[in-house]
Amino acid sequence: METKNEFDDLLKRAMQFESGELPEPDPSIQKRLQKKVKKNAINKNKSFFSSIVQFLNIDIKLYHAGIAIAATLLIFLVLRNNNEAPATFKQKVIVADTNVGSSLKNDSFLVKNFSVSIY
Amino acid sequence: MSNSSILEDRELMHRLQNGDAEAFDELYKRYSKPLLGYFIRMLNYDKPKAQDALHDLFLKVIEKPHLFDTSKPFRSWIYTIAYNTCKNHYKHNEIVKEAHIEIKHTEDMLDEKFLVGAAAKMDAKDFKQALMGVLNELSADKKTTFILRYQEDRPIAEIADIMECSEGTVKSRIFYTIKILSEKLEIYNPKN
Repeated sequence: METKNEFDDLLKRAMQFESGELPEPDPSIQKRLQKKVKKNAINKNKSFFSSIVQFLNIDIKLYHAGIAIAATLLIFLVLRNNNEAPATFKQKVIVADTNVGSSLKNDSFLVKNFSVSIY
Repeated sequence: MSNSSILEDRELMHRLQNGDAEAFDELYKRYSKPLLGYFIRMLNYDKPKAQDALHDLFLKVIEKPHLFDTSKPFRSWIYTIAYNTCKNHYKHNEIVKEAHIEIKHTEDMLDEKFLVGAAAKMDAKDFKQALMGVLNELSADKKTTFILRYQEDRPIAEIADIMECSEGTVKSRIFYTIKILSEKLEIYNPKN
């Protein structure tokens, strides 16, 4: 066991680099790689903007225009109907109120009630 | 001390994915020298080739950061790439070797002569040279296992993770490599 450990230690020592044996990584490698990282970052930003530009740069065909006009008209009609509906309802209520006041049946009822209160 | 130097490798890698140059510098500072040492030993002391391999390795890290396997520690992942780079280099060399069998045979004879002649000196420097000579004869798998264990001092589990094999395979590779070394370096045993 001891011999095995000794042999292991011997191998570990032999495998270590002596001073000056292991060179420093070439500085030009790091510079080239740094440029690459920066270029990638710029390209990443560029690709974001170019995707927006691409999105805005659609080829417009005649049927696109047709669909757009039809959709605008539809929206306009729906909105107009929605705005008109409450006004018509109010008018009908006012007419109904006026009718209530002038109804013969209701008038007689009021008179009856009045006379009851005299007794 | 910059902010990056206290961050973990995984966090630095995440920042590098977002184009952070400072994160890259820190990862390079941490791993470039040990990886260069690994390449130098794996590529038979061909230093320019080792520098090229180091460049290519970090280029892969920069260009394909999405390949970072988050289930692995960064160290294991980067050493796996380094190991695969060397394996490809060995495969290529196998093809070259087949075309130069005669030259290889002559070199073998010279190595043996050198080992026998150096036996008389028995100092550490000679032993080291002889050890490297034997290591250069090993397959990429055995050599990597041996370098990671004895040069980089990595635990068995991590070596298995790097080489994507079982711990048993790593142990058996180390066992056979040491067996070959003890046979070939027997002449350096002081008891002889």
